Amino acid sequence: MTAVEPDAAPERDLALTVNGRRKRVRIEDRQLLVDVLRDNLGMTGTHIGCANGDCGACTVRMDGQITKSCLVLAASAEGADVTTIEGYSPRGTLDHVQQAFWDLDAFQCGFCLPGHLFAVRDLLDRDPDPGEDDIREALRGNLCRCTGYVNLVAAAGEAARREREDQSP
Amino acid sequence: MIRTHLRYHRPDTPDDAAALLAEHHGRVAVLAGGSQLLPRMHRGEVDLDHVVDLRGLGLRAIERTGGRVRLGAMVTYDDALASALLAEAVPLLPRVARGVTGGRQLTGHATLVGALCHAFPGTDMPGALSALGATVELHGPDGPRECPVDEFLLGAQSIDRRPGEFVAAVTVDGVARSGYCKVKHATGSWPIATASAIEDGDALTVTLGAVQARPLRIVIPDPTRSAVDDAVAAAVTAPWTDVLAPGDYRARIAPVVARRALTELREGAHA
Amino acid sequence: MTTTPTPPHSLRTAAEPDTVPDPPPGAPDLHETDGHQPLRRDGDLLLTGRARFVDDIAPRGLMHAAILRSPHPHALIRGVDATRARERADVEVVLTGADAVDLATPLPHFFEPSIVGCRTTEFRCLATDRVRWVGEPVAAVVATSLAAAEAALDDIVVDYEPLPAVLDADEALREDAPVLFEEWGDNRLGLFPFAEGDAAAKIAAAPHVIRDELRVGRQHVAPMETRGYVAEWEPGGRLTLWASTQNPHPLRTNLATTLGVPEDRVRVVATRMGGGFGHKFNGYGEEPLVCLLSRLADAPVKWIETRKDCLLVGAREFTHRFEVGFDDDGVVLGLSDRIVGNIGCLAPWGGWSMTFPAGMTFPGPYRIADYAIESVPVVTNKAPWNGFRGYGKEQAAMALERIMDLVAEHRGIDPAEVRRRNFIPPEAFPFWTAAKHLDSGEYAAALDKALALAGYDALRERQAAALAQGRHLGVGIGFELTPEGGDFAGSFVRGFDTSTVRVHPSGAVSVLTGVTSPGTGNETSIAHLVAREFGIAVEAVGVTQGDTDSCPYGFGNFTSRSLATGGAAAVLAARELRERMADAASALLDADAADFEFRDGAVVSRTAPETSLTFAELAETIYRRGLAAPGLDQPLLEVTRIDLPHNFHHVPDDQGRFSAYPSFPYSAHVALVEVDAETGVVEVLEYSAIDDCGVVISPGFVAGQLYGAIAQGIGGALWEEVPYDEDGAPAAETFKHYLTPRAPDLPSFRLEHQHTPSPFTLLGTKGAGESGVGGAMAALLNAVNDGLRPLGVHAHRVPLTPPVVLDAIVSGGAP
Repeated sequence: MTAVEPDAAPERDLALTVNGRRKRVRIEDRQLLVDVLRDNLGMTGTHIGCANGDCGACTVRMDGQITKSCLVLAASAEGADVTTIEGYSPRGTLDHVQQAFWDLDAFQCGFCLPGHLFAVRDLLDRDPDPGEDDIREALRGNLCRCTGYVNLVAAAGEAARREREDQSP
Repeated sequence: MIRTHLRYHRPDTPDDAAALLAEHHGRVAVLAGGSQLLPRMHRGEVDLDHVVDLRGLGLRAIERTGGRVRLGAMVTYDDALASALLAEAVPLLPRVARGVTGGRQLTGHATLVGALCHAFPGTDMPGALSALGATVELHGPDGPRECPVDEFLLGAQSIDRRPGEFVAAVTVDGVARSGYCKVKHATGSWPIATASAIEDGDALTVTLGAVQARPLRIVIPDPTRSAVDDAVAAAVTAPWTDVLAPGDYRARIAPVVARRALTELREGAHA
Repeated sequence: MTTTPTPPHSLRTAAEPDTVPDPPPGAPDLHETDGHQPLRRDGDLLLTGRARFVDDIAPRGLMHAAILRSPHPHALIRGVDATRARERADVEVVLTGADAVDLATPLPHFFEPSIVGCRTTEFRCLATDRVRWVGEPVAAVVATSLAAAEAALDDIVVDYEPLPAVLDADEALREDAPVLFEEWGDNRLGLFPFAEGDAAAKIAAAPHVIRDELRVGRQHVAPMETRGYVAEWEPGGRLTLWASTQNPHPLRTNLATTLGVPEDRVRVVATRMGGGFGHKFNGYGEEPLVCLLSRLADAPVKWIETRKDCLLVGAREFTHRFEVGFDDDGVVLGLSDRIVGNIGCLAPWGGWSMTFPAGMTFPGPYRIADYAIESVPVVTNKAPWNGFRGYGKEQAAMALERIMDLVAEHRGIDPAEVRRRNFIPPEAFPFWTAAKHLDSGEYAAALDKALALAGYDALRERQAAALAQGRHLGVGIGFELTPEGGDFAGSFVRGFDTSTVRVHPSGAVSVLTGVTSPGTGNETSIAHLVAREFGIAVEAVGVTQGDTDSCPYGFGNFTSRSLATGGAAAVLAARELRERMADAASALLDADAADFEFRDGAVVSRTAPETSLTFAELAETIYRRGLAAPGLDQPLLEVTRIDLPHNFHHVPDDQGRFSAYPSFPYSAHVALVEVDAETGVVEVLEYSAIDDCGVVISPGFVAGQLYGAIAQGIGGALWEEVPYDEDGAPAAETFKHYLTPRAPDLPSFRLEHQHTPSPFTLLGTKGAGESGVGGAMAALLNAVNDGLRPLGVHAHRVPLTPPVVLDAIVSGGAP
């Protein structure tokens, strides 16, 4: 049998900051950011639910902007500052959003959490006192199949309340 | 995972971009926001060896040019929502951007021009840009070329982009008074029918999007209900069918969507 | 006339206990909920991205599999040429159906159809000579990367000879239809009749009769995590399969059979699951296939289902043709429903069996003496079904609730009142129907609570006011009876389960259980129950699930039974241990064993509270001094128990009645919608529900289950469908086609509870998990139709997408 040697997939070195640490990884040009985070960097908290930008389970924060990492070609992210769910809060701590999600049972299987956490964080950073409609709108890019969103919405409101309480003198 | 041995290019000048696109013609795609292209490559529906990323070219400005407004190819939905210029001069665009599916994880990257170039009938931008009389600015190996959006959009997922060309920007008319209506099944659904109503002096037009393979611009001589219904019914001759809705449904709701856009125009409700 | 069917199985003929034993003295009253619910276990791991799902498993040297699937709905395979694929340098293994025949036996069925009198046939992990659905696996490739494996699929050439295909169930039943399995002669898999009395005569004699039809489109589970498997063989021939599966032990048994490996040399680890809902019941060809590929590649191999492939798996495509006779007061006198389920092709995955509960659940919460229900599973050239939460029970809810509304409309009676007139009254329980022994219920009370919660009268007023302005609000009631905990002897779908409780010398407690959690929180609840038995902190109790190497044999997660079975078994085991420990304390402290109570981490004499030992001291002492000190006669601090099956009636009684389900939770739902009569778009404005699943262990988790079930029901009622194109391929390939609800699509649900304990279960619990899907589907179906009433039309085609609703309006409502 004659082995057919396919042309090697084009590769490059990619420099990224991930969760505050500078990383240099060898990637293939065809890799999506989510592939690099999961396969090259072992950040498996970022999940692949649809690979179509629909479900939000692969959400990260990239240069301050929440982003579906299945919609980013890794090679285009040279120099980016990426925060994954592993770096969403300092290790060993939970922020108000995470704690409210836990306290109010806002998740069941937890697969979709990256999208919901980052989307709520993004909302509260813009609006410290969102109404229910604002919260639901902020979650529009995510899918959850377990919770019916009831506790998710309540937890987002509760996190906002706790943060306002923290801020008030 | 993307199966092909893709090579990523990030040119720094429009000419370099055009040269790369020309060199690899037939095996290359333009990468802007990536939200349409990358999933299709991931599923193996698009089989290419090269992508040319426009990120290195700037192209993210929203600016006045004469009496018109120019949007670079990399302008995102979030940019449109944040633009004071658009809010004042072309409020239809932020109005449309507000209703885009995908959340802020998408609207920070996905581009208006990208949606136009994708030319999928069930999207907002082709109809809205057609309503605004957009001119498409392409850049190719022979330099810039301009093309009216209605000629640029050839059909479903088909555009007039010649070898080596990419869209650098669109320019649109300043239209202070407009109305928009979109009907879709649910939050995650593609638009099923859109209508952009524009008042320009005495002329009233409604441009239907997602109803046919290409946007349909309809002059409304008389904004009464029956006149609108008749004008729309006469114009819709080949309604689009997709997974979510058959053509006859689109034909049925087209007059409704048109009337609602006109109502929003009249009442000025850019909610 | 139909007759009552043979029961699912009658292997067990021993007398079945019908009541539960009294708890031993000192046991906490399990019918009391203490209102305290621990936080979900491992929540911090999930919230910080440190929980591991199957796709996160990556043994060293991992290779990746891709599967070539049939592009034809029906075709003969004349040949497969994989030469070019095999020649690729990055390809390790190419396996065709013909290759696999000698490597694996036919696949055991998740639920063998012949057990319930259906036709059956054999399936392989890869098709050999014929494909019967678009997407059927034909060949597989292993390569060093997934991209390489997927690319190599293009180099496998399959020579197909297309055959005529049939996609519609009614067409499949015609005499001239293409037949999928020639040995059957036609496309009927079987027939499930459920009948009492003489429905035809009662309907014929009834003063009023309605005949109508209800169609439900093909739907899909859509868990956020798709399926996946990672297989690895150790050099000594031992296999480990990490699997996103709901049934690790039965999967291990099936793998041992299929691969010819002794069962104890197979380890299945059910990884943390990103949603199951029935999609991850075992029986899939990919399960043994990934193991085979790993063996051939001599390397660990991973296969993760793509979203498009996930969407192949179907459910719920039913047609109801019903006839109801009733009197002037809206009391139902006779009912018939002929239900046809388009189950797609048969497969070893068990989803086809949803056609059984679809009929069995009739006549739901209603006292109808004369009814005749037939449910007919029909095979077509669509992809097979697997389980989908609701498991067919939602069909009965939709049909029955629609019927109640039609009767109400016909008689001009409020739909809530018609239900009250037809409900089984509380004093009639336990209540027999042809295939159910209903445990307990306060149906009218639940409905009235739901109406009060919704502000029903005010909704009607708002509806009238809106109509005056040309707006079409609709109010819909849905009442759902949900048989739970099904036990099908002869299959691995069993109504009991097993737990081991182990007390360590340090006082730490392990629970190892045969039930698994798809994210429902049962592990948290089980720990809570066991901690309560021992009077120790819940943090001191560890729960291990899903690993066949460490857990006792169990059946996993389905039919909302995990807590009622695995949890009850753990409680029984803990009680036995507590008795042993009380005996030891009695010997050590010279006090009466019955006098000890377990509380606050200590074993304390009730009469002399200073006489005590900490729980840990006692445990350690038993290990250190057992059999060496007087009275310490039983140093084994480990007990494995099953929960006793309760309220199963496998052996038909003298009237031919049987009951394969032991518990019957129910829920009452009220939805408010607005129908845009110009576009057919439906907006869900308000939603209220009352749930009754008996005694509740973890109220928050039960509420969470209801919320999720209601959302799935609303999605199914309004948006979710996988249509097929004219070439016989599924047209929904992404979440832009298959529209599951997003947060802006739904209102916040108002939910309250009623608790009518089951007299038959240890904990007084009834199943919780599936209940809510059917109620929501029914409430939405009725609400939309209520909104359409002023237009004089009905819409009887689910999902009620805007084109369906507008079509009903325009066409005058013929379904």
